[in-house]
Amino acid sequence: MVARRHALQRGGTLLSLIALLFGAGIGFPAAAGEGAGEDGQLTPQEQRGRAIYRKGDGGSGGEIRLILSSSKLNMGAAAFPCESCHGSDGEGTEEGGLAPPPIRWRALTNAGRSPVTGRARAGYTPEALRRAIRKGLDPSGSPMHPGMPRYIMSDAQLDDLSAYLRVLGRDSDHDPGVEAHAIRLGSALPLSGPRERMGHAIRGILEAFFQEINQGGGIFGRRLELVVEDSGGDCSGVVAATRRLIENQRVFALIGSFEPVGCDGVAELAAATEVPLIGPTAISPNLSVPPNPQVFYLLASHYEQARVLVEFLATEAEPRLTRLAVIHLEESIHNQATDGVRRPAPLLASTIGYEQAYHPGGLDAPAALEAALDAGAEVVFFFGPSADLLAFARHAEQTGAPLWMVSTGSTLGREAFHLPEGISSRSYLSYPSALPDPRELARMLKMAQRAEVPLESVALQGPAVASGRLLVEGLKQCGRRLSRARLLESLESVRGFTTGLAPPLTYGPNRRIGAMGAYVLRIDREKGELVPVSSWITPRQGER
Amino acid sequence: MHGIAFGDDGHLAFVTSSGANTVTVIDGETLEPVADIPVGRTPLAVAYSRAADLVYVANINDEHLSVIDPSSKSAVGKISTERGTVALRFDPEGRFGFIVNQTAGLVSVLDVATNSIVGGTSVVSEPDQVTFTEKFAYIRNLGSNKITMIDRDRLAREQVVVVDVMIGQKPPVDLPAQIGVADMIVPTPTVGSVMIASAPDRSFYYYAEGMMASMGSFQAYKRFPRGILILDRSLQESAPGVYSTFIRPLRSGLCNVPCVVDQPRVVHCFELRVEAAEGEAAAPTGASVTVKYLFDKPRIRPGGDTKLTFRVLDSATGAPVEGLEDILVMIFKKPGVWQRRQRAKEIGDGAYEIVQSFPESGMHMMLVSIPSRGASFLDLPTVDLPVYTDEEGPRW
Repeated sequence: MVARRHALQRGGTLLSLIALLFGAGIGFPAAAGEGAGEDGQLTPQEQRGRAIYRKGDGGSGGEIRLILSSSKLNMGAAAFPCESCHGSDGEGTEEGGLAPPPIRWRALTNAGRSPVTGRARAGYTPEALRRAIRKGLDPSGSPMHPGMPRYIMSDAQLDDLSAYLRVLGRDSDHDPGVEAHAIRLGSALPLSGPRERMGHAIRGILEAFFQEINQGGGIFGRRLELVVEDSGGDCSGVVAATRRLIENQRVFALIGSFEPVGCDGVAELAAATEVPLIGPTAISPNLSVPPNPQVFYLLASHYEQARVLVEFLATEAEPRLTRLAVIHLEESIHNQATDGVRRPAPLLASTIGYEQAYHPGGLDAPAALEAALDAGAEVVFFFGPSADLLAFARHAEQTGAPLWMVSTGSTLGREAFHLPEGISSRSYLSYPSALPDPRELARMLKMAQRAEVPLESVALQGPAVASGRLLVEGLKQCGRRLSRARLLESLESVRGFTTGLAPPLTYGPNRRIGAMGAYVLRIDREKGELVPVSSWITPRQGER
Repeated sequence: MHGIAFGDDGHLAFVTSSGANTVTVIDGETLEPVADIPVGRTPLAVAYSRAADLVYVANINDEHLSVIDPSSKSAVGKISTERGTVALRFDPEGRFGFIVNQTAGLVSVLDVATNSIVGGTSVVSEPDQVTFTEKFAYIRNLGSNKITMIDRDRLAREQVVVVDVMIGQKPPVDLPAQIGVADMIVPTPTVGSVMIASAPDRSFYYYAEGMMASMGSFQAYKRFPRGILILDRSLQESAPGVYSTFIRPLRSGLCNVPCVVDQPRVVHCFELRVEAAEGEAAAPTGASVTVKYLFDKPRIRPGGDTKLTFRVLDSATGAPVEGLEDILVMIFKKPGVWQRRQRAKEIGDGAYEIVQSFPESGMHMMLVSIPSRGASFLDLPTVDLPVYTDEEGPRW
């Protein structure tokens, strides 16, 4: 095996020398099938060809345009890259009545027959391929289906594309982090600094999970390897750690990275480098419209949770509460939550009589309370740090105002039990997850024990394992031929996937939050428990 | 005995030899054997999984499947099964393999993502074949007239959900001599239905998923079906607004091609002329005569007899044709519930006559056919005959 590979490499070098000597582009690299690059990677020409195939990106050779014959429309090739119709592996697709055929090299160069028209064609030669791409004629000279655009590209770009078509779908055509027997996954976690316990806990449970998968033989014969980079826990650290994972460690995808509140950098980096990020550990997802295609969140953000609360108050709460006030810290997740109150209010005939944004340290509790009461509010939505919320609550308690208070469970956390008595009995909190299934919890415990990993925080480690299960499900649906694009596609087709450690997860082409909803809880001071008062509520009209 | 599977985009053939206990790998381009891989005892069924990019071999007399890697052309693993696996097939995506064990009366499902068995069913009776539609895997039972269906969607959740449906009367074992290896349950081009062949019943059954029985049956005309192959000749849109399919005309001549579109409701007949093949005698190409009616707007009253005459002329020369004895005249009252047919009588000089009485008023039509001259009723000119009393007057 080794000897053969060396021979190929030598052959490759020889050919490029000839190219230099004769000064002309060879047109088609002579080595068929195997990429002639180092370590089974694509050569620069093949990489250029791949950019054309996947994105219609002509690179330094200039923009590639196309003509759609049916409409005589002339447009940039980015609108119709080869991949969109012929598949990320060249395996062909079938959609909307069209059946763009497979175009891997063997399929192209063998004689064939159209399954749609039954017309036979000879195998493609290099000349015939040029003619097909430029003029839409098959090797026998017949016009191809009008759905195939005619591309306008230079000879050099055509050569690059042809070079890539030779290796399309073969072993060398693979994403970083995918090897014959392993898939490398990365996680940017705080292994030092104030959050190091959390970082180590998540790393431990992910390693335990991967170990269990690997003991079963891995996925399609590949074991899962976890690489962790220390993020220190702050935003710049996490972005730097993620960059190291992508560029230095060359991971295939990211999983469970810790995303600090308000830190957009990680998601931006994932989008820019097109690296999937599965189940980041986050208090609240960083949302964008349309959603970042690379990032798959498990649980609902504060936006959805706020929507759930508004709906609950207007339709299920006893008594119904529709006169709202919102007081929030001027900061990302709290702004998000406020948006979530504004959105459903008109649909439910709830009104926001008073709204106030304050800056850190600038909360004037008495003034805010008075203004809210003057506006006739029955319930105050408070989105801000727990200390501010408690201050406001204490003040409300002192004045004896018959006010209800509502917030997202994750911001308040254990501090909920420090709320004054009266307010505490008139409070609702949102909780975006479900209690773990007892069997799954026991399973996770056993897994952790076997790997000698302490089960520190079910709230954090449970979702981490759920992300792992989601990743594995996505990998299983891809098959052995694995690529980042295919992983995204298979995750997008996940419907009601139960992990037992998170609510059932559903994703879609425009949906990147798996469990889009929440429970509403009330506070039981005596028992020191948070008690659900609703079933799982999904915000009306589903996703954003 | 041998089984064949194709891997590597069809480039390699994997052929089991049950006597030699090997799998031979043959290069699809050169047709030369390139490797001989020893496997278990009596390998027969062999299948390629697209999802795993691996070839799996069922060894009938051994307790494992052999797993072969097409790129290294070597055995890379084993999967424990019970002895007696006669068939092995993967669903179209290649993720789940169905291991059909006739002797143990068991069908097991293999998930190639982890190369582990996710479940199975013994609700089968001498199973021997498995085929697939989008939603189900169908198992043919030799010992029963039931087909067993496994829900494919649930397999991803490691649930093997089984339904069985009675189809036809007799189990295949009633006629052991007719049991072959070709598929007897085959998906139809329409989503969600299959055709099932039964040799003892001498019938084919059409089954639509969701029903508890077949929707209908087709005769095999006293023959014993040994397999089904469905040729899909549905019209496909091959270019915007253009729909095409294939047909194979059996004879040359002029054909009508009726075409019905459901929505909007359009019925149209196309004409298709099929050229004679070399050496084939040319079929008659239409009538060689024409007819000239020797009356003009006759006044016909209901009741009494009316004589109607016409002349038959040769199409080529225009000369009158005498001596025709097979002229058939049809007269009907529109829309056609009342009609009469009679032979015309020759009256000389190429002219022929009929005598007809018309019981009721109404618009009638007269048609002539002369089979010996290749003229059917529609090949010759027709004439309208209004029939009315004096009181009614002509209403047309």
